Amino acid sequence: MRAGTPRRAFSVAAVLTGTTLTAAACGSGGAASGPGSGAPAQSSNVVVGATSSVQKLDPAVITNFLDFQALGLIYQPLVTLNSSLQVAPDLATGWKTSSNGLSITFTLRKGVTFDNGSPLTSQDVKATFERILNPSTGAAAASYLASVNSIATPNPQTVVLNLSHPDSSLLYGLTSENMAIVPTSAITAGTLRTKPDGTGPYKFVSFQPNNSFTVARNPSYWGPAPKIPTIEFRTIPNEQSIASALQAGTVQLGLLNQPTVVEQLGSANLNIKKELDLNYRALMMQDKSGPLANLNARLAIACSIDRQAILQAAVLGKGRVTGPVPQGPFATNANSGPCAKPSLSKAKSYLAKAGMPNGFSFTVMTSSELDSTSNAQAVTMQAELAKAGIHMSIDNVASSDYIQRWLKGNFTAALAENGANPSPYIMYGRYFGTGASLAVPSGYSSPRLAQLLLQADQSTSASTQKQLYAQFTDNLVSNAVWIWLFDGYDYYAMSKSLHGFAPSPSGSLMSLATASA
Amino acid sequence: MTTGLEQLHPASQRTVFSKGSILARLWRRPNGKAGLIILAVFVLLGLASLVGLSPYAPNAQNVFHGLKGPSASHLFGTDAYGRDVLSRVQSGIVLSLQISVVAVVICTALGTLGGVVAGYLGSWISAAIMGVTDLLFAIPSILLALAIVTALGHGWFNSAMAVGIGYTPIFVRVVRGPVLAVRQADYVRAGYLLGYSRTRLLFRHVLPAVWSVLAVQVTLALGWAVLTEASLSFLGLGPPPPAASLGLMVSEGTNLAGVAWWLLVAPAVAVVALVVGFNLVGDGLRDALDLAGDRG
Repeated sequence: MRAGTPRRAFSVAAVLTGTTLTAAACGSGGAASGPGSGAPAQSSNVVVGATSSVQKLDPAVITNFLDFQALGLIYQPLVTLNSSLQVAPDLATGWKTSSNGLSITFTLRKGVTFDNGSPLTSQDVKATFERILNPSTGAAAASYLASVNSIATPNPQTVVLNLSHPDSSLLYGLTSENMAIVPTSAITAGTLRTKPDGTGPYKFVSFQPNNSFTVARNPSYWGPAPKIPTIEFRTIPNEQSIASALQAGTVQLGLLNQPTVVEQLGSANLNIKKELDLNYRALMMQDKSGPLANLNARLAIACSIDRQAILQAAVLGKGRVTGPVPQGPFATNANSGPCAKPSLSKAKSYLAKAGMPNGFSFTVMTSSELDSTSNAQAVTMQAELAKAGIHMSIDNVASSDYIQRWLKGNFTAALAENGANPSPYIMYGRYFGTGASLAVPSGYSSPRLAQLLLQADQSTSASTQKQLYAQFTDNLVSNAVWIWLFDGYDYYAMSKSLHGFAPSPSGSLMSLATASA
Repeated sequence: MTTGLEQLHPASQRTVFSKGSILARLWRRPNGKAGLIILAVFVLLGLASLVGLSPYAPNAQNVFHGLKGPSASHLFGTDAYGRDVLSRVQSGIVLSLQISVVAVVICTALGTLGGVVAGYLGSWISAAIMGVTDLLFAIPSILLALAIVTALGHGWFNSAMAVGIGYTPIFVRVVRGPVLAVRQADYVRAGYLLGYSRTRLLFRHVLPAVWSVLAVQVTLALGWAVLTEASLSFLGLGPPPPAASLGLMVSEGTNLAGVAWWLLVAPAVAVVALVVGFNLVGDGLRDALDLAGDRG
């Protein structure tokens, strides 16, 4: 779906947590890039153009990248990731882990209020986490809290998470927008799915599905007062049209994925920045039925696909081929596994072993609205698979259809852009861990995978963790659970009047809170 | 039984089915000649690919040589996947003609049937058919086609169905008018008096009177069908990838026009040529078949 960079549209499942890695900024011209640098006190409104649309308003259940970006201006988690991928304070000013690793105590920031005027207390944190853990909520990231046994609130500013076992990834998990703190009153009233109510620099104004999502600055925000009065996320389903809107001045910030569109924009009136994001593109497969239930059939696909060619066709080669963990201390070698390099003879050999020497057919679901590069990925993949006799049909669907079908596992294969995280447990626990909340779209389950994840998460030794995560990713690749394709850039095209916006590897647009236009 | 009646009605005096004569008249008209030449060039270009006369396989990719401009090895350049644009345009012309011809067969068959029944039988059947026709007329044909493709799914035949059904109301009206007029003509009344069956009157005396108008309409409809099919493909509702559809190529070319103009120009010229060609031939045919206005 709806790529590369773009996230703005994409597919599902982002753990938008910021990270950073290589941020290559190519810009033309000199837009200030530090928060507030030289920005005027008065600011105009900003329109953000994106090919996808905000889908859901409840932070616990969102999986669409634009949802993370838009709601990220309204909601905040206890902790966040800084540009060095370190966990940093957000609504919690500090935390302390007990010596046995079985409890973490958070101290909450003072003077924080929700949009409804009520102050942030430890009760809100407890209610938020209990709601996420309640299966009826359908939270996308409940697995991040799998180790939490109980939540204590000794006073309004202190929250204690009591764990069943040491959990090295818990803090990383808490940085997700899926873990954003919501007010107890909104939980009780059941209004979170229709009326966002957070603590962030902006507050909700209006939402027109498939059209626009608007926020206005929050006068009672605890941090520096935002300068931009309102920010509208406008859905413009085609990147070329976003480019035209940027040139016409009706959009001030365009979220783009396609290098060809960016190249055509020029830099006369616009500043362009790019950021290698934390996400990865993958061919997700439902491995429980049909031809893809056969391991050798999946390996035949893996050996047929030239990932470098897909990278070239999708984003003109601007990015890199990746394995299951694209970046961070546990990054995987992109060229490992039985089909690290494309090989037609190997593919045919796997097909013969699968009992399908003449190939087979399947359909891949894509959404150009979610990931504007997905069609190019699919067309290239289709041609490569055809050489081995594997016939792949392309079903390009609207973003909302894609997300609904994805969540229900109603696809044979899907091209997805998924969010990554420095912690493999956070990335994959919700797909392959015990009680994984996204086990249905993941399409594959294995006790061995779940065990490896859990052992790595519980381990207190960095070297053991690394070893266990390596076994985990080897297992994913050698079983062709999915096929990991590449990691691309996000492109941000902005009018020269927009000062102070700095992209983040996570795709977060939080720097808009300190920017001006 | 030879009654000499056939010589009484106008259609019998025309040389509608005398191909040489019609073609000759068409060729003598500037619009007809231009249309025939344009169609001949582009249709032959497309058909050549069916016998292997295209530089490359239309779907053969080489992504590392993508977006290369026109050159000796790729006369129309390559697209983002490194596919030869000329070969894909050839393939696209064939696909476009395939869909258009099937679509026009569908709307001609349905429309002629509806028009003849409505015009010849009259009464409540006519009211019902024209009611449905008016209803369909109220919906823009591209919108109707979009709805049909969305319901039926993608694929060349579904595209043809969508286009064909969308243009059926026009054929109903075009056929019904002449049938209504001919129904009251003296030679048809004479046929009644001679005891001819309705079927004989319909097929031997009424239908021939609409052939000429139908021939013009079919030619014009081929042009509309090419355009509508390209529109559907442009919107992503045509035959799915990797089929080389002219509308989809234009759509992709639009996004890349700033860096690869040839991607937009080549398929767009093909669409324009086919549409203009069919329209010119249609106009020429109308002139050539119009006995009253025959200046040839």
